[in-house]
Amino acid sequence: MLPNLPAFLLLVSVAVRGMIVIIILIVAVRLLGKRDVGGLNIIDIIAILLVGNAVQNTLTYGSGRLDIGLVSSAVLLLTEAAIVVLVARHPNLERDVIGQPTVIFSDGYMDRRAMKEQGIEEDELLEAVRAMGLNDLSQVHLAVLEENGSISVIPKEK
Amino acid sequence: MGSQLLAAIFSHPDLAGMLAIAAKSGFIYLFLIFGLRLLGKRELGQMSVYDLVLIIVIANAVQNAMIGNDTTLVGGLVAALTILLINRVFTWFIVRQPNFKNFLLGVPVLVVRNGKILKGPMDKAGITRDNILAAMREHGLSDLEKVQIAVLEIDGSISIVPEESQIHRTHHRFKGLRIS
Repeated sequence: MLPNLPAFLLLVSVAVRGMIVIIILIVAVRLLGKRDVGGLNIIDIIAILLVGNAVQNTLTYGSGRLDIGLVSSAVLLLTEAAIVVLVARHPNLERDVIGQPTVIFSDGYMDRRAMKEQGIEEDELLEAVRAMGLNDLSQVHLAVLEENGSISVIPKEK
Repeated sequence: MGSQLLAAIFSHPDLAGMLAIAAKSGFIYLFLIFGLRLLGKRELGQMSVYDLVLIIVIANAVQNAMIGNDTTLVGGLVAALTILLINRVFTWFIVRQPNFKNFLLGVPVLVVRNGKILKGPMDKAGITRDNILAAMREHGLSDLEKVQIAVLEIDGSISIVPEESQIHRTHHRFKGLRIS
């Protein structure tokens, strides 16, 4: 149901809504933990697709009009690009909004508290260890949970 | 005109409407999780293109059921945040309840031991000999004899541990992965 607005203002409202939606969703995903960004499992995939559909009517007023679709998708792309630029210029902002790498294993010591905070399980750590072709943690020098949710494993030197 | 614009942007359903959207979105998310679980779709990497198409189409099919004719800003955000919140709660339980995790996401499966493909587990997991060989090549191995163990991980990727790696005690939660 389109609001009763002149054509230009209608597109302005579409643009503003698009910006609000993408910013809120980015912040929400950040607040809900790194795990939602990387290491996706099936319930994450379902959630992502449902969220995308859930905000569809908000982005387009449920309208099939081409101009509305173009404006809303352009705004999403531009907002995302603007956030990337902003974050690149202000590293501290990235720390606040996206998070920073976390050491979860270091020379025989597994930081279980950090793992729990980040929603990483021992199984996932061991999976990353095997992905490096290593057998278990005794061969690991350092394991770091990266900002994108993947786990980097640095082997001990032979 | 300005107030009309603001009203159009920041429109919202009434409280009952918001609760209905939250409840419907949450119900649909749970329904899909357990529906796909019952169909045996757990391991992400094993999902074929058909499975992915299925999930995308389902997500579109349930859109109107989640938010109906609502085109407000708040309505869409309520639905989205409800789903993200439930996802967070599930993740919380998955981290703390191994049994729940195993039920929902499956367990890693040992598919090669000491250079021999374990046909039973491999067939049961729905992967092929070619999948294992492809994973070996990714790890720079061409000879099955050189593989100590290969594990189908719960994200669907296949981990290969080469023969020369020294075996240490492996975590007990990996069913069938204990190596003597």
